[in-house]
Amino acid sequence: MSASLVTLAAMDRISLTVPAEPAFHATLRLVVGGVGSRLQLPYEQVDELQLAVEALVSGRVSVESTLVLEVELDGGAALVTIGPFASDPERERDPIVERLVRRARVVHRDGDADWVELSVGADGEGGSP
Amino acid sequence: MNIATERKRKQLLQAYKEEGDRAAREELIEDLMPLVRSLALRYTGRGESLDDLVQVGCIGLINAIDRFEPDRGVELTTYAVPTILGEIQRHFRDKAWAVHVPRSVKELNVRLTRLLDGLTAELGRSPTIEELANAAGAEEEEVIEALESAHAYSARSLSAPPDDETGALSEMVGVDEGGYEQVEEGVVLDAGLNALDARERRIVELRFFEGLTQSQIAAEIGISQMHVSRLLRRALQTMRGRIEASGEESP
Repeated sequence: MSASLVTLAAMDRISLTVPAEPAFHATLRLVVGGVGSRLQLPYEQVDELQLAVEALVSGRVSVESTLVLEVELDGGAALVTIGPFASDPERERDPIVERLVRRARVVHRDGDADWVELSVGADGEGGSP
Repeated sequence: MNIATERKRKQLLQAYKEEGDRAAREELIEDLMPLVRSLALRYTGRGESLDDLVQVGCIGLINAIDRFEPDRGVELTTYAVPTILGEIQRHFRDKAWAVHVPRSVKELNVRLTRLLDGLTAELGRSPTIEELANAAGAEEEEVIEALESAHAYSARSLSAPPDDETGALSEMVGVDEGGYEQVEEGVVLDAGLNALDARERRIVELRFFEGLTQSQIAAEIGISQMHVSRLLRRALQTMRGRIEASGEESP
C-alpha cells in the first residue's frame, strides 16, 4: 500500500498520508477509529467522527494527489486535521460535519488550501451526547 | 395452472421421490423455470443481472423440489415460491458484504450489533470500543475492523431490512417534514433532504434537527444502532450527491 504512517517523536501526534482516492477512505476511517478507541470515546462518537472524515474526503475536492490526516492527542481529546482541499468559501461551514463532532472549522494553510479541523473528546461531548 | 400440468408435475415428483428418477427431477426443474424467472424479475434493478438472479433462484427451486414432501398436502409451487424468494434474498444479503470481508469479521460484526445495543441499554450510554471488545472477547483492533466492515454493505442492500429487523420502516416511522426551515442552514440542507426517502429523512431529522443520538434514534424507531449508523451514512451520501448536483445546476 502506498500509504505511509509516521508516528512523531512525542507519540501524541499521528500523521497519515494516503493517495487522494476513494480506495483509501477506509484506511482513514480505520485510523480515526483507532484514535477514538485510544481516547476511550463512546462508540457513537467514534462512528460519527469516522462519518465526518468520510463526508469531508468524499465531499470536498483535494488539491493534491495525496490527502493528509493529522491527529493531535491531548489527554482525552483529539484534534483531527484533514486536507488539503480546494479553497471553497461556501464551505467555510458545513452544517452536517459540525453536528458530528464537538467542533469543526476550516483553517487555511499552504496558501489558499482549506484544511478542516475536527475536535472530539474531552469537555464531555463529541458529536453524540 | 391447468389440470394437465398439475397432474404431470405430480407424476414427475412421484417418479423422483419414489424411484429416484433424476430425469424426472430435471424435467420438473425445467418446467418450473418460468416461475423462477418471474420471481427473479422482482429483484432486477438492484445491481444484479437477471441471469444471475435466475441462477440463484434456480438453487432455491432445486432445494424446494428436493425437500418437498407430497404428503403434506400443499402444491409444489406453494412450497417453492418462498424457498426461491428466500434464496434470492439470501443472495442479496451475502452479496451485500464486500467480497474481501473475512467470515470471522462478518460474524464479529453481527455479534457486535447485538452487543452494542445490549451494552448501551446496560450502561445507559454508548459503550467504548474497549468495552465492546471485552464483551465480545476480541481485541480492540478486531472490533474496529469489524465495525468498519459494516460499511462494506452496498448502498442498495440497505434498502432492504436485515434479518432481525423485518417490517417496512417506512410504515414504522412517521414523516414530519416541518421544522426544516427553522434551521439556520436549512437552505443548504433542503436540496439534500429532498433526495431522501421517508425513513432516511426521518433519521436525518432526528439526528441533526432534533439532536437525538444514534442509540436514541434506534430506540425511537425500533432498529439497531448499527443500522441507524448505516442508514445515516447512506442518507448523507445521498444528500451530498444531491447538493453537489444542485450546485452544478446553479449558474
